Amino acid sequence: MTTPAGRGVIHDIGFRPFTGKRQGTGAIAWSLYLTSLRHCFGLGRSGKSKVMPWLIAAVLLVPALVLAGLLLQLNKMSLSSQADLFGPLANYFGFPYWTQLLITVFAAAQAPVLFARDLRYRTIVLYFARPLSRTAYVLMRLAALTTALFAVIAIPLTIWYAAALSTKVDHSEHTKNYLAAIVGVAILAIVLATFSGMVSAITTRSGLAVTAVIVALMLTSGVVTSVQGAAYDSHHRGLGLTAALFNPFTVVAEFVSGAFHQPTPSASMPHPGTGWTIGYAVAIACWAFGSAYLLIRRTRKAASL
Amino acid sequence: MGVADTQHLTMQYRQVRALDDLTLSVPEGITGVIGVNGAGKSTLIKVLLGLLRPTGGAVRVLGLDPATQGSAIRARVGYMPEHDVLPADVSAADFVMHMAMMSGLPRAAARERTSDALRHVGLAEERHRPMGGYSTGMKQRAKLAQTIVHSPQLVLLDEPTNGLDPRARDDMLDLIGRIGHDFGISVMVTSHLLGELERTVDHVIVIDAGHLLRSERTQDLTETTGNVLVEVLGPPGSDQRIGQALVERGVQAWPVGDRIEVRIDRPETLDLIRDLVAGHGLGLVRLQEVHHSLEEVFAQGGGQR
Repeated sequence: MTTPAGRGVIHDIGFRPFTGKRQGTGAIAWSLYLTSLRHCFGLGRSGKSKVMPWLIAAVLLVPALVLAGLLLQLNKMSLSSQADLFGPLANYFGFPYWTQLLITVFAAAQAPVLFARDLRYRTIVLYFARPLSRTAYVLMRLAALTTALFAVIAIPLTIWYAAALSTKVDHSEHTKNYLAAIVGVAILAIVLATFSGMVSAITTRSGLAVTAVIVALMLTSGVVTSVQGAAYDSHHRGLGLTAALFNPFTVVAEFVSGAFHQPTPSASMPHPGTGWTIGYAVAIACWAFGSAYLLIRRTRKAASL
Repeated sequence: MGVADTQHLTMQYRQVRALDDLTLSVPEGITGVIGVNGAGKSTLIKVLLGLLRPTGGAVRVLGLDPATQGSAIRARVGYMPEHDVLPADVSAADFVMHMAMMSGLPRAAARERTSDALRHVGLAEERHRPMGGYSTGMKQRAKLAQTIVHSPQLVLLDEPTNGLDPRARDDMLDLIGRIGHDFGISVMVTSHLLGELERTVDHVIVIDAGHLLRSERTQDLTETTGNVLVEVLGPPGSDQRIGQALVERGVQAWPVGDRIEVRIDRPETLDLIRDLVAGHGLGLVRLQEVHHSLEEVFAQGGGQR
């Protein structure tokens, strides 16, 4: 067939079929994971989209650096033995709890990038016409968002912990609290990723998704905190423990506190016993698997054209 | 056996039976699948890709079974959906390369082939601009590029000419012709318009309400009618005079616009036309065999099953 002029005919050296070895689904899944992780931080996207994730990552470093600085300063003043008086200096899981607004904004801003755009533009159809299964696609996206959330929280924590190790504070206590917090952060990252991913996939429009995630997380957080405050004042321990179930940050904080014998991030949060700790583990599973189930179902349905 | 075969294929949705005992074979080359909207074309494509599990019958694509080897099929098949699927904020170059990697191409090969594919579909400098600003024609080209970038053996194109102006439609049909005939990739292209595929496809399959109506080579369908079209050059009314003269000599002739269609029963009739035109002192501009158009064929025999 002839080609009309002006379409690059001179350079047309014909079609060269690909004869190399095609990669298996494992390699494809890994490639999707890496691309998604890069997109979480705006890499490979527009310059504008890099601002939010890096700004939040930077701001999250500030409290950790301040705490690390305090530790170093106390050490210099030979007051490390007194560091226990500063409760927050060893309460690592308090960090994600007190910075939850920043973490929420990060999850809210990045989840739509991975879960709403493909549905909105219906690019999802092209993914599903390729070797990766529909469930594997969702799981890779989730893994990427979880990794991104984990990284922005765990890196400041680790800097803080490294500063603590270089001082004369009780290393075993810090190590124990740090490891407990890292486990807690991993769980929190999974819950936040599945929940914000699910909200993004349902709302589809990214502006709406951002708002919906922030409202859902901050509203429940506000309600839980005020209920817990009221319960603390009126000595209703059960009410305070029950309220914690309804927000990812409080439910994970209670679980970490109960499972690893950690202080709770806030005085108004009651310390759970074994029974409540198991209850929190179940609640966390409900948050994560419930959201993941809805997310996968919604994505599969949206792709049926 | 063709590149795709179905036997007694049935797809029953809750209310609707989209495919009903459909047995067809898509041979190598370019095959047009014609049917009105809702005839089952898109459902057929989804079944061939292994995205929908048929409720009855057997399917083979490239010798594989989509129900159990869907992933292997999707690695070697390209799919161009009918509707818009391109993310607005990504450039065609980045997007097509990502899609190539999602089909299992290693990074280096994906980059090289993306550049090839974009060149073949005729996207030049605009490949580095976000696709949201593309015209419909350019979007269709980008969609086609991601369809062929991983060097598939078969591509499924769903209504690729929909929404294009006549010029862009001709370009798209040229491209489809090149893919099928020059690139050695088998093509199955759907359309609800019979006429526009006529000059591009080698084989025509017509389905209606999930049934197979016809499956034939284009040449067999559009055999010559035994009539010729005559166009003469002369003063106004010349065509009528020639027509009149032909009828007076016992030849069947009738006007078609400002031309005359003449029934050729014997080869001598052609000489008669030549002599008459010369005798009247007119110029013989055109003496052309009349082929059936696909539309005529189906208007006559579309109902037979």
